[in-house]
Order: sequence, then structure tokens, then C-alpha cells
Amino acid sequence: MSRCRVAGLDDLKPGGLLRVDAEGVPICLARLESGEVHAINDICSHEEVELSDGDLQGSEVECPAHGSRFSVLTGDADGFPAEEPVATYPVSLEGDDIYVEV
Amino acid sequence: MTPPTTCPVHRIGNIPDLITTVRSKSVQNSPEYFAAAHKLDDGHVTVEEFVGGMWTFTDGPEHRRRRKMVNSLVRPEALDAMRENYILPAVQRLLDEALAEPDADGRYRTDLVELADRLFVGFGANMIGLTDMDDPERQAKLRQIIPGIFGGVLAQFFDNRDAVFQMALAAKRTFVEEYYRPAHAAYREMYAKVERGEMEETEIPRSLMRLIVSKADPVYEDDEVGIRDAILVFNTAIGTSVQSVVHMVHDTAEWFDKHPEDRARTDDMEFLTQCMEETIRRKAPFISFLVRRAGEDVEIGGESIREGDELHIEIPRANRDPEVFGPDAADFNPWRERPEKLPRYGIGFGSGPHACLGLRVVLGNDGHNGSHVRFMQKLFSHGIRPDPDGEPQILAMSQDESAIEDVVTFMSYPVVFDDWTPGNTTGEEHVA
Repeated sequence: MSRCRVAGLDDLKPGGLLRVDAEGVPICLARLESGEVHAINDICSHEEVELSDGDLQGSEVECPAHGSRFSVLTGDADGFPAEEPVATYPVSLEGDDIYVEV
Repeated sequence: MTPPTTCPVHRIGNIPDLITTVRSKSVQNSPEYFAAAHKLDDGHVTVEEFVGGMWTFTDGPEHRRRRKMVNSLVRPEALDAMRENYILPAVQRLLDEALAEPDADGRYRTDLVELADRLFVGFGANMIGLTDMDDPERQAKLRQIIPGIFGGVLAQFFDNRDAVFQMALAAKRTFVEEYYRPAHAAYREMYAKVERGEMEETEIPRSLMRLIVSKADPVYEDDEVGIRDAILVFNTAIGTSVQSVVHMVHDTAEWFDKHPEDRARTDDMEFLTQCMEETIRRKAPFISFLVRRAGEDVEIGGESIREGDELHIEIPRANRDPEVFGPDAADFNPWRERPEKLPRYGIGFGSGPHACLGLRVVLGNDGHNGSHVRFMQKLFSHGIRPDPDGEPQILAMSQDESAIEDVVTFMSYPVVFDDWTPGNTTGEEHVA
């Protein structure tokens, strides 16, 4: 497992999503309104769509294509038509830098 | 308009090729080709009055932007509100009205198409944001224009097209002048109140009209685009919904004749959902094909397709592919094993960027508690079954080699309720 700096906190506003790549893995960073940052795989498990183009509502990402919903905390599929989870990745903050382990 | 009737037509009728086609960036969703299927020469009426500019007839970034916008109409809290605040109370009220008196033989009968029309007209009106829809006369008038709007979008599937267009244009005028514009004005007034600080924007009902009036997308600067998007929601929320529930009653009745032990499962949402998924798989979208256009040369299933060729996307046929769904793929079987890498409904809601917005309404946010399935549960709780003394009426539509015998549009479907007592909301008392 490797730890990568993927973005600065200034790149990701509260309530926002950001597509980053870590070691070639497409990742959707999500910053909750509380300030917490989470990382899930960016590709919807239903069809190949980038979740980072969707919306963050509370702690769920809504897929822009078909409205599937995923918890950014657990990766679980919380809303049809997706039924399979997406991977989650550990996130750590150092100062204003966001690190993800993949 | 491009003269598509001279183009080669490619029929796409198996799952792998169909998925490749509808997900391909080389394939476009062309309103002109859609309108011209079945060699419709005057398709410009369909394009210019009904489908041109609808979000489903856009591609690429514009489609993605607009689809993301309308996804807000089917978020979990919106689905809960639709089901609990509208669908379930309305079902009970409509059953009370339709089954107020028994026939001379003591049985309670009604027409399921009419019952479902009445339910889903209110549902579609809510989705669009039409106003003053508590008025029974306005509801009835809106129901009367359903066939006209349906014909305007799908004129290419009818033989008597002049008459269809006349009815369609009259229906559109009624829809726009008596329903769309008053609702638009009401929402404009709500936004004026928000500007004056007299109400919060969050108090404005979530609906397509809210998106249109707030110009949630720049395309809504063009009034006609909003009207056509409303027509799309009208057609799908009502027409497709009605057919899905009527066909499910039809399909399950045939199943129960062969498998009477499953009648006891009609309160089981998982079983009912599997029934709905099986009906959707075999019959949705309740026409034999959709149309796409090759935007550039492309190879699909080993076949070379040239730019400009017409593609007929035969969803019901592909969804009966025995290599995917087993040797009995053409039959209704709610216990069918789920195929690998596909949902039970196959591609009945479409696939790729244009997959149906209504999927989350029909099956629910959790896939097991959808509005349509709960409606079915309510009907079965009162012992609904086809009326053996009634004859369903089927809409006459153009037929070609893509037609499948049991993919039809029911215009009426007589049913009888074996467990109905007026005023009994549980369906526990047996009357017959």
C-alpha cells in the first residue's frame, strides 16, 4: 500500500467532490460540510461513470448518470440501481495536504 | 430534416450488441430518426412539436448535465414523499370510488387501465408540478389528452397518422394552455415571493416546473424545451407506468394459474418486485424498438455500420435472449435465476446514459419498495385478477418484423376484486 499526496485542502470546498488519481487508481475525494475528507473509488459500480461528477448530499455521493448513491464513509451502495459497493481508501491530512493510501 | 427513410436499418436484438450500441459514443440519439422509424414521412411534426430538444434526445455533455439535474426529482426523500403522500392514499381513494357498488352478481369490477390512468395522472402532474389538480374536472380533462400526447410522440407507430397528428396537436394545445402555462405562472409567482422575502425557496415544491422556472439549466431559456420535457414526463410517468402495472397483473394471473401456491406471496414485496422486474424485462418499454443513429462508422457485433445508418434497438427481443436468461427466456418466471452481471430486469430500463429516470420510482431507492410495486401490493391485497367475463382492448399499432405478440398497449383491462368490501382498507374480508 502506498501513501500519496493527491490534493490540497484548498482544492476541495466543504460539500464538494474532486477527482484525483493515486498510483493510477481513480479516486473521488469528498469533503463533508463538517470538514472531514473521505475517499472512494471514482467509478460507479453500476455503470462506468465518474462519481466525482455527481453531487455530495450529506455523506452520500449521487451518481450523475442514474442517481445511484454511495456512502463516502463505507463505500456501500445506498441507492438503486447500484447494488455493489465501491472501494474506500484511508485519508489523512497533514497541514493543508490530503493524502490517500491505495 | 435528413431523409432517414433511405438509410440502411440495422436491427440490434441481443444483449451484448445492444449494450455496446447504447453505451457507444459513436451512436447518437436522433429525434429525426426516432420520428421517421416505420417510414414516417411527416416526422417533422413529432420532432418540432413533441420530442426535439427533450433531454432524452440530447447526447454528450448536454445530456449528462440535464440528466444530473432531473435526477434530483427521484432522490430518496422525493421517492418517499411520492409513495407515502400521494400513491398509497390515492390508491385507496380511487379504489373506494371505483368499487363503490358491486355488479348484479355481487362481484366488484373495474377497468384497470382507467384506475391506473387516474392514479398516474396525479403522479405525473406532481412530477411536472401542474397546479390545481385537486379539481376532478381538471383531472378528467388531463386524462382525456393522454392518447393525443402519446400519439404525438409515437406517431410513427400508427398507420392513421393524419388523424393521430390532429389529435396530438389539439392535445398539446390543451396541455400547454390549460396546464403547463398556469403552472409556470404559479411557480413564477412563488419565485417572486422568494425574491420579496415572503417565502423560502425550499418551500417551493420539488418538481420539473421548479427546475424550468428557476432555469436550473440554460436550455430552459427556450420555453419550448420546458414544454417538451414536461411532455416527456407526462408520457412516461403516465403511459409507461400504466402499461407496466396492467401487464404485471396480466402476467402474474397467468403465472398463478400454473403456480397457485404463489398466490399467497402477493403481500411479499420481494416476490412482487421480482414479478415487476420480470414484466419489465419481457415487455418494457412497451414498444418493440427504440431508434438510434450511427454518428460515425462503427462496428457492432461484427457488423460494419456506416455513419448515418439507422439502428433499431429491440429491447424486448434482446431481453428474451436465451443465452442470457436461460432456455425459457421468453416466459414470465418471477423465480428466474438472476443472470450474471445483469439485474433481473435485464435492460428493460435501458442501459448507458439514457437509462430510464423512472427506474428508481418503479423499484424504489432500495430496489424493493417502489411506488409501482406498492400499488400492486395494494391491488393484490384486495384480490385483483383479470375479469373472466371481460375482454381487454388493445391499441392497434403498426407492426413489422420487430413486433412481439405480447408486447401490446392495453386500452382497457377489466378486472375483478375478490377481497373487497366498501370501506374495508385491509382487504381481509372475503366478499365473493
